Amino acid sequence: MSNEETELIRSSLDDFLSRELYGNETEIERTGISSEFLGKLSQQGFLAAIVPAELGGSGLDNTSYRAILMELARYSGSVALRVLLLNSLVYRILKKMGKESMLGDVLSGKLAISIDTSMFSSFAAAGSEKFFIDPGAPVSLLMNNNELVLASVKVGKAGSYRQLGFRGIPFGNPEFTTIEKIAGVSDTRKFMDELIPEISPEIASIAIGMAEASIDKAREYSKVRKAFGTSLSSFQPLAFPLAILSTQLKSLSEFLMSPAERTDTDKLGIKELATEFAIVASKQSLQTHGGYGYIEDFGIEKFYRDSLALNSLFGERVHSLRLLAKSYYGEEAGNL
Amino acid sequence: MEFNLEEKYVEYGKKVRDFAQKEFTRALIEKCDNDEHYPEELRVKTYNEGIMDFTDPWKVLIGIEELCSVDESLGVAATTPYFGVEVLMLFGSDYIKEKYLAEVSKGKAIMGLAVTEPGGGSDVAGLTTTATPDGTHYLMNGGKMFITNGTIADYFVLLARTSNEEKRHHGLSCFLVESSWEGFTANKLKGKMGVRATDTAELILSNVKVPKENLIGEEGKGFNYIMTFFNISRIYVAAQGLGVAKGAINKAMEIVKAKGPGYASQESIQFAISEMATRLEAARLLTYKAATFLFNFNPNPTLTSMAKYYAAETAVFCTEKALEITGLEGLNSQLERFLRDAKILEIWEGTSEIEKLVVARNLLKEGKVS
Repeated sequence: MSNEETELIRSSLDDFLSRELYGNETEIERTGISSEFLGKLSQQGFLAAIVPAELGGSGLDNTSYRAILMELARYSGSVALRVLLLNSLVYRILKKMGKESMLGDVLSGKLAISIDTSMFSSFAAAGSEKFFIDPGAPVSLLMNNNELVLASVKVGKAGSYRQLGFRGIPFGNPEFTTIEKIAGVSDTRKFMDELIPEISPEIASIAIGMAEASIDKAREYSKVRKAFGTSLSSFQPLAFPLAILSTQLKSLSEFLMSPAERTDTDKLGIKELATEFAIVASKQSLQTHGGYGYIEDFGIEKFYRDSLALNSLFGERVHSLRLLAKSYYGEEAGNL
Repeated sequence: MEFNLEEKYVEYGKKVRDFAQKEFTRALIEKCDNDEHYPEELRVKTYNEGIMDFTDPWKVLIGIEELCSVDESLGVAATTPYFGVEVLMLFGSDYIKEKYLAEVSKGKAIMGLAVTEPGGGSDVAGLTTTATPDGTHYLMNGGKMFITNGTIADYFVLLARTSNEEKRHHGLSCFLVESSWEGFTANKLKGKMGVRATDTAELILSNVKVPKENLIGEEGKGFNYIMTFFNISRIYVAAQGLGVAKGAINKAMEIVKAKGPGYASQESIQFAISEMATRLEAARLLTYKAATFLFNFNPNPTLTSMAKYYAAETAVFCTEKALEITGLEGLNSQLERFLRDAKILEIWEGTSEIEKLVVARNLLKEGKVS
């Protein structure tokens, strides 16, 4: 896909989001993503963006999919993550398990699936609390004796957390009264280590979208906000970092949106750069906004929180870096 | 050169830490975080048990660090009932000290400091709230923003414009304003990212009649008084940063160890721990050095600003790094709250940018570093 085509997708998506989502981003953080809005996302084909057309999806290519994630994340990290979870995770895992037949119900919203985030963890702490996405769902992708399984579950108590980020999506520590295995992945660790490079550019897309929104908002604010009789943009300690960040953003974005075939090293590397960049950019944006940036209503601080959560949500960073080093060297590396 | 704290301070730190660990339960911390509220009974208990000993500034410093190492939000809320008292102690008339300071010292009243305005945070001299002489009173009009204790304080030290001088800061004066006075309105600001147990508000002043005897010190000297206050309060903000960094590092190490020896032995994890701990140690040395100057009545604004911004940045660095090396367990622990709380340290009581300007301008004036 050419840059023009990517821009076209982003532009049309921006029209849709400015109409349907603009102004409601903070409400999503407080009350969750409404089923009505999910329905609209489904109608637009975003919920099944990379699912093949024969399975009821949109069958988009990787670049288009990343463009969608990036644009969604500019408005709401929660909405972007929801789309990523369905496409990058649920679809690929169900496909691996040969359970694509369940996708129709999942994508239409008839069937919710909870996700055990510990599937990404290589060093889980003994006895640590579970950290599930959508903990109340009747079907779950969970880790059971080191095996990733799809299971029908009965939830006694879903539990809930005050989340650092992505507050539009519920996280919790569910108590399962029954777990009935439907399917499993026999070599889970190997599968997950192959999945991580695949989803890395997609995670990076969310990071870049949030970073872009943060930088844009800081730029606009610093142009109109005055201190000491002049606009904030006059001051080097604020203007210089934003200008540099915008250049970094462009570089990362172009790398990510390039249709060029990428190696695992590139995929894992861009995720590391992008997630770290999102933290730096959103923190700079918050700082530029001062006290106002610290208040939820202004929609700035959520990008910082979401960026940090994104950095931890998909397992230990050291594991991802080990995969990166292994790919870079072409052999085991960075183990010590 | 002695780097160890005197035994009485070690004991005091332990007393405060024990108090915080006992009273700041996880349930209470989460409730206050959710409800954006600080329980009055905890404030009273903190006072009754002598947790904040204002007779000795070192105890205040150490106490703040210990409280914030357990929870910054409750820790700050526990110490801010006295916010601004230094202005009264240093510049207030006998009348003000007797009428107001005595009440606050007995734990019967809460103080606040109202400087920041909606149109300007860092630009203190640009404030627009006015206090116009009117017979035996000043008539005060304007608004304040992000005011700690805004809806719960009984008394405020409030900075307002009393004249339009060529040098803007020469036209500012400090007043003691009671929140019960007619024309005074406080609207609580909800939805802060962190320090949610602390009360933050917007103040609206509409023809508030302030008796002339409530002018603090001399008219036109308010800016200097507030800057003097900041040279004190910034040391305590630095102590908040030390506490947050310490709490975050300790929690991170606990989680890293719980993830097993295979994880704790990863050298990138160990490097992260080393970097966090080194920064904390450096921030503490800097803070204690700045505090030594201040507590010996020889404040050094350069060191104070260095300490404030460096300790604040250390707190943010450590909370981010702690979260990064603890993964999902960190995300689902008090580390996420440490992180939300830490960021405000780079903003309140002077942003990091303002602190760096103070440092640079002082150094350029002196022409050399020590």
